[in-house]
Amino acid sequence: MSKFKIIGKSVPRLDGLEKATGEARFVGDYEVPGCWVGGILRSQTPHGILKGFAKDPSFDWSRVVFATASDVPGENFVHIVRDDYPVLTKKYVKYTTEALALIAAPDARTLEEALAAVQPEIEPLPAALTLDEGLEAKIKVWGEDNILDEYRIQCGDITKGFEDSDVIVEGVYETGPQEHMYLETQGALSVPLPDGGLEITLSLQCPYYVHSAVIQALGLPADKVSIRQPTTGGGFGGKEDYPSMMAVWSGLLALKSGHPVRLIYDRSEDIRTTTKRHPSKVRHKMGLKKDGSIVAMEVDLLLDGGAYTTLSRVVLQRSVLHAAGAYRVPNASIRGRVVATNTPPTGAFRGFGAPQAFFAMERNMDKAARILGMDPADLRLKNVIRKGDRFPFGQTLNEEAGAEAVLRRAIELSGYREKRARYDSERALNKRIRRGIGLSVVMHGGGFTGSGEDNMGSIVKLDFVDDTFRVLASSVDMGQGSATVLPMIVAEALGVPMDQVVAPPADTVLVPNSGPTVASRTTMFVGATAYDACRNMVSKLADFLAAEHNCPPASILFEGGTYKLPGGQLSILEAARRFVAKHGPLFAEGTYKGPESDNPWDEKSFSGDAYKGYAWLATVVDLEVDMDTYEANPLEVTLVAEVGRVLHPILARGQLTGGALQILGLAHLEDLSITSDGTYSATHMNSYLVPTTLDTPKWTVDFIEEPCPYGGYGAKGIGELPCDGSVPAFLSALDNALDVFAEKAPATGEYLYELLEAKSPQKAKAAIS
Amino acid sequence: MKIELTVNGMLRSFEVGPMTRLIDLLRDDLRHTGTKEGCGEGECGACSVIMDGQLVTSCLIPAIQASGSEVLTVEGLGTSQNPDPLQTAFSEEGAIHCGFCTPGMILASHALLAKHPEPDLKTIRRELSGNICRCTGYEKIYEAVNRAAREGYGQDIKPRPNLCVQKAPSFTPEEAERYFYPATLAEALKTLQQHPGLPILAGGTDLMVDVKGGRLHLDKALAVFHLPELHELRQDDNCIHIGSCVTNDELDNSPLINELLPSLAACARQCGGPAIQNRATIGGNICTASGAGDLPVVLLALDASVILASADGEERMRLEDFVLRYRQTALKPGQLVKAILVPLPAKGSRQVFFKRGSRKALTLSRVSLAAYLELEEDKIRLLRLAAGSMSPIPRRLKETEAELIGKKLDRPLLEKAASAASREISPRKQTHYRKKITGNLVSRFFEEVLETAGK
Repeated sequence: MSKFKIIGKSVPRLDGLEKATGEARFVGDYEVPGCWVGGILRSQTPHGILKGFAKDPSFDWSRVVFATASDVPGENFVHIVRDDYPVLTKKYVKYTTEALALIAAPDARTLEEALAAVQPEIEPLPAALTLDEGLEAKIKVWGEDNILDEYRIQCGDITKGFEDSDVIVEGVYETGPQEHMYLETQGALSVPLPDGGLEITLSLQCPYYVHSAVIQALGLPADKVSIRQPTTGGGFGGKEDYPSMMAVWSGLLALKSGHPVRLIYDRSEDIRTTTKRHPSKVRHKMGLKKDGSIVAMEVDLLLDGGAYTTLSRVVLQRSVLHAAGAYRVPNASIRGRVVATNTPPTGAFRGFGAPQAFFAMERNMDKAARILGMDPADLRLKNVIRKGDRFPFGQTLNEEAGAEAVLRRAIELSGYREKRARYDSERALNKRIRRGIGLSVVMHGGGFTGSGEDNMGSIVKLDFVDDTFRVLASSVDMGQGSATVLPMIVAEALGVPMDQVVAPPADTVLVPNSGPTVASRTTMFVGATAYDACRNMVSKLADFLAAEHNCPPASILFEGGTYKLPGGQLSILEAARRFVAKHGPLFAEGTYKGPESDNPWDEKSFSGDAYKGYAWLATVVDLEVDMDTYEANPLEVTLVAEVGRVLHPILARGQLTGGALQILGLAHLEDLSITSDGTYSATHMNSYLVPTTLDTPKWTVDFIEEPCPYGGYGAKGIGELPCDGSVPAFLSALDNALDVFAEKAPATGEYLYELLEAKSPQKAKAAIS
Repeated sequence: MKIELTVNGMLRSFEVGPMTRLIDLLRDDLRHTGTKEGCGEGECGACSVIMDGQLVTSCLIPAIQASGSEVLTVEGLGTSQNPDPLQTAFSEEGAIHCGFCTPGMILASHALLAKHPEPDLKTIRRELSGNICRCTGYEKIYEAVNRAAREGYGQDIKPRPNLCVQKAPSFTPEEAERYFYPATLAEALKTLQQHPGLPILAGGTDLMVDVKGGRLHLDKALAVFHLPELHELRQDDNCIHIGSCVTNDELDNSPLINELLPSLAACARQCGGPAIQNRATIGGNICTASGAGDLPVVLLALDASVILASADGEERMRLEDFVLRYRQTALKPGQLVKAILVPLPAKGSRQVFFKRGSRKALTLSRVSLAAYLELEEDKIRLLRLAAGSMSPIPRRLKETEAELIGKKLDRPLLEKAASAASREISPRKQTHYRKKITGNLVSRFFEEVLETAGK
């Protein structure tokens, strides 16, 4: 029997019915009288010098508002982790689709005419379009060497480690860009206010990121700008940085035109211009003993950041911190670099650099298993990091469950061992349909890297309005369910029914800064902060009751939503009502206080306690391949996760299956590249293909729960974890089905065909020996 | 123009341009903003509504074709205060995350349960395959549909009355020079005679995408989808007559087609998702004359002909001669494709259609192959092979056919057939890969014939 009334139960999501009935309002659903439409004039050249604009004089330019870099009233940068992304390019054009000028028009047709009546004049320069070209730095995209950021991690003695190894396993692993394909495209609605300020409603994850970008670029005082969240149709990281651009652009047009301006992308503009998951190229070298134990590991990890930094620095941090996987590695040398290229900037995408790192790590693990003649599961079990072991960045793991537990459960649930052996032997039968099964084990650090959570200063406010407790946070519900889970935490902590708590959509006028909705941090850290707000609310009301009853506050007990008073008891609801009647507004704030660490994170040496809790996941992919058409189709995927306490089983399961399906797209379907003119090879939903119902496997999901002392009600982060494991597990299953070794994702049919063609009998022998 | 629509049981009239999309009528004119636009190209399903009982993507329906129809949107099901059981099931089963695909997904589920009140998982997956959800992994959506099915939701769906008095749009005098909504085929042909070269608008699933992309400007059009004559599907003396506006869904559901032309039925259900299949027409697929068309591949293998009708009369032409090159047919001004005639397959003949798309649903073919085979004893008496997606238009593999006709069909022939087909096609991109798959599929076809013959 659970000790909780609400935590751990799958209560219906609070926004479920308004979404099911179409009543929920997304940014495109707002009706604003006199609203103009915004559009962006973009570069069609990947690299060049902007000389000016050729405007067709036959078009009546007084009908529209036209803005260039010189019209930006504040600093001409969209503030993200570094001020390098121009609001509008002044001189150097660094990628195709870069924003050069903005136009606002009274209606869509006039906008279309205006966009057709102006051409940017760009003197082209040679462009660096690939990671390798960026790294060469013959063409300067960013700084002197095109390196946007670099981090290194060292532990032990790498040279000696390799000397002590019996086997050295090397490989180079690559992943392509991935599009978020949130169903609702990017969109912003900026309304100019009579006092010169702006009210901006937009689809987003991070209201205060947008707020600070707008005040800096548009030169407005903080209190003149409000950022409001409508219902948000998916983000997955794609609405972490990019909404800052959308808000600045639409805000600039609204200020300049004096009209409300709507800037909503259509799908093609969204795919062509917004950020993607960083393409990666990772060189792995691993030294092992004959028995399979890892002695040394050297990793050289490259991410393609595109033309500007966006969030690449922090993406890279997470990449290098997860690069040695969920394993104990005594001697390690990890180097990570983000390289600038003349391509659209890449950015945050669920997993945030970890999926690329795990892809390389897990692939090299499979390669080592092949060479050692071990089963990939056994090699992993031999090396998984356990309680008391240290990560290469110096953090000692202090968690009981973890890699081994999820892996063992997943092996059992999926029937991995029997199937792996059976599929292996069935290959010789040369059947048209081949089966394969493969696995991976990963972890994901919850919350900001390093001391981010301690320094963030997250605040959650709890107030009592209209007889309801409102949990006020800038953490947004973009579909993941925080507008249900945060009220659950509050309802449990206050001992009130769910219908007594709401989480209103974020509005910077109303909500304090609880931080951005990123890094799998909301349930874990904002949840803990909301809990702190509840504690403060409880003691504030206890003080109030003590004064009323003239007794010491300590004599008042609070339990199950009720205050025990001398001579009776009172529900917290009633106490709140009395407080409001007597003193007016009732509120309390919570902050996040992390645990003391004797090994605190040190940014300079890039070592120490990097995360306060790790979530663990084992993924087993069981698939079939049609040998006539080289179609690989996942049939059953087993996900076993340890995410601390599961607060809402249905939502948690949905995070796992949804995240795993999204990344399975990258495993074999979502094929994207940069063409010679610097654009993406797929620019519509008919060419960038995400999984449909028919591409979706049967899911088997299980949780192992070890409550985490630092997260809300023991929760750890869950949002990104499922994106870390499916790609390598899918490719491992392809090994099993086809006896080929794929080193790139997506593993498209054409790639599988090439691998099979290249597999002459001699080469196959060499690979085994 | 003025049109009437019955939307969620209410009679509505609109004054709009003929090419205004249904989604815009709903969202902008009626403020029914539950219908969402995720792509505007029929690729995501977020704008799905039910029109005259059929699931459609409202971004691909121009007002001229919505005229007089009965439309159900998510607002017609229930409100958050008084939800419909399907909406409750979605909410409570965890089928909703971000909510943007939800209204379209719920309408697709409604259409699915109306057709299949007790669907199995395979049916649910197939019927929802045109609706993309990027959040959930779909599992909870299936569970919501299952729950509604258990509660008898499908059985409870009643026909909805169409209150429209006027079916046809009434054009302004200026529009009446450019847009036409004929009452009969004869009237359509007369219009074409008077306005040769008038673009013909069938299901719109290709044309509306081109309009969205700015590649096509339909400032005039002849709407024909509504003409009953063009939906005729029957067996004549020695051939099967398929009206040019017969949809993929009608093909898939026709017992006649399933019995006599199973390869055509198989092909029809592999093009687009259900909402597209409800609007995509066989005539449109031919007249688009694109290399990626799937139905023409089968029709080539079945040696189909087209009936070209004009006010002056009809002519019959073999499909092979009709499609000239990429985006060009032999259609003369004043003509339209009235029907497709497919010769009755010989008794004991075999036919097949294979498609290799980039995913399992809602996808263009990378490779498509159709075959028709007649055997005499164990010898190949007649063989027609056609391939799509690898040339500007689908084409017959006549060299391969010639090499195989008259030969004994046995295992050694499989490899020969495969390599002949691989040799004959010349895909511009992914050359070796597509050649290899085509050869494999030719070989698979013969192998399947051998296997069943051996039994």
